[in-house]
Amino acid sequence: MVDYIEVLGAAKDWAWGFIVSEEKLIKSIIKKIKLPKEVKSIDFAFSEDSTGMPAVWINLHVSEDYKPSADKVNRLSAARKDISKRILEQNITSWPYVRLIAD
Amino acid sequence: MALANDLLLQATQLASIDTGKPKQANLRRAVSAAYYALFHLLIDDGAASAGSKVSAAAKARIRRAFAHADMKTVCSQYAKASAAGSMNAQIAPLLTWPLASDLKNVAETFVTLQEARHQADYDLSTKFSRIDVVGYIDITEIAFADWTTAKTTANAKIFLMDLLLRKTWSRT
Repeated sequence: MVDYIEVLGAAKDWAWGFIVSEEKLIKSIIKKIKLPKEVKSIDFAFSEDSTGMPAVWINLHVSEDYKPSADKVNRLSAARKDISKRILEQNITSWPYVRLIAD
Repeated sequence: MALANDLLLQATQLASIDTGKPKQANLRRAVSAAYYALFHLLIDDGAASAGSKVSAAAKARIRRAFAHADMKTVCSQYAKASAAGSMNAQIAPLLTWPLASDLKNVAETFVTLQEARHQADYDLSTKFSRIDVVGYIDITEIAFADWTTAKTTANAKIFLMDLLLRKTWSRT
């Protein structure tokens, strides 16, 4: 007879190991990127997006700015795209959504 | 095309309409307009690819046939695709590899904007800031520029057909 508790436990271990390995990979990718000076800190979290696709939410924390200069917007957009591109190149299961969070 | 450009302009105007602290309603509508700008850019060119002899009414029907969820599925594959093996097995042989970075960027931006638009329209727990919204508009403008370059290629024609037909023409 199948021990469902054991199967469930193994699945949980596998899923946890999977998240930990993706987390490590994302950390190492972010570490290699030179972020613009406006980025005060960065964090990320895994969950599903609105359509149920596995996703990683990468938050770049910046100061509130009601009139950002074009240069600043370009720098932050470039960082946003660079992070996404590098993560997508690694073929990570979770889709990278990079957001600018104004604190 | 005119609608796509007007929506992008509207997004820019809404993002900067408030002096001082921006209203969430304006920022949220700006994000939504940016997404729909890219959506209409793609479906207009998809309908246009049917040819100049097709009536305006027929093109309108073709535009209506594009589905947001299917387009996201297709775009997420193109954005991630590094080689034929990473693409749907029925579609991969129709494409020339590797995919150009401008086409991949259009696809990636579509997925990003669709999720942002969903948050803007339905998720009141998410607070939008002007810098974030202006950033979404900036990446939309980049995607528009990339599409101008990409759309003349054979891969872009397949991409447009894939956006419309994925569920049926990817069958084995």
